[in-house]
Amino acid sequence: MNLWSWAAIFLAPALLPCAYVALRYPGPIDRLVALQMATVVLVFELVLLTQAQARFPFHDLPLTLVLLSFGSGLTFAHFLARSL
Amino acid sequence: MTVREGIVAGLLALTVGLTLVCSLGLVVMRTPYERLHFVTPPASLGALWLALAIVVDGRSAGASAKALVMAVLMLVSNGVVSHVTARAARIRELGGWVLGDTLPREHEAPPEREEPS
Repeated sequence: MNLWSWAAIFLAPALLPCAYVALRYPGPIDRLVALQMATVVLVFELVLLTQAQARFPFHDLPLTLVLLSFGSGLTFAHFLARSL
Repeated sequence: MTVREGIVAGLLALTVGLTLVCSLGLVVMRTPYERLHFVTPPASLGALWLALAIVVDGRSAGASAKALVMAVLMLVSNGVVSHVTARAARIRELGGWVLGDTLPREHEAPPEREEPS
């Protein structure tokens, strides 16, 4: 266990409020905001776990997730505005 | 613990603490507009602190470069996505984005029309 592992462990509970808002709140925009927050937490978790295991090529994964979350956020927001 | 490890530990503690507090803020706040404000700090400051921790750690130059790129991408993309999300919330609430297109809220009386002189 190193510093990065402990940080990953302590960061994991940050997903619980996101899950609570995403699963329990009625408003779709509230859920979208929770999804965005969960994405940020997951990016951090991936970075911390990559550093903890010293498998540095896996830094591509959080980088890819950041790029994909940008597109998904725009798409969700576009359709939630009027269609859904 | 060396000075480098101390700096890394401090930056990681800041990142984790900020993310935990902002995550709790999602539950505490009442409207989506207020909740959006709590996504921005971890996506900007938190990502920067995490990238700095990786740079200070210094075990891999490639990892440091990718972490800095990730922090910049999060900083830029979060601003855009937050704006688009707030725009979607406003359109859902008021029926339009431009002021002239908006509909009166249900609890508000319709605006009075001025008589032509």
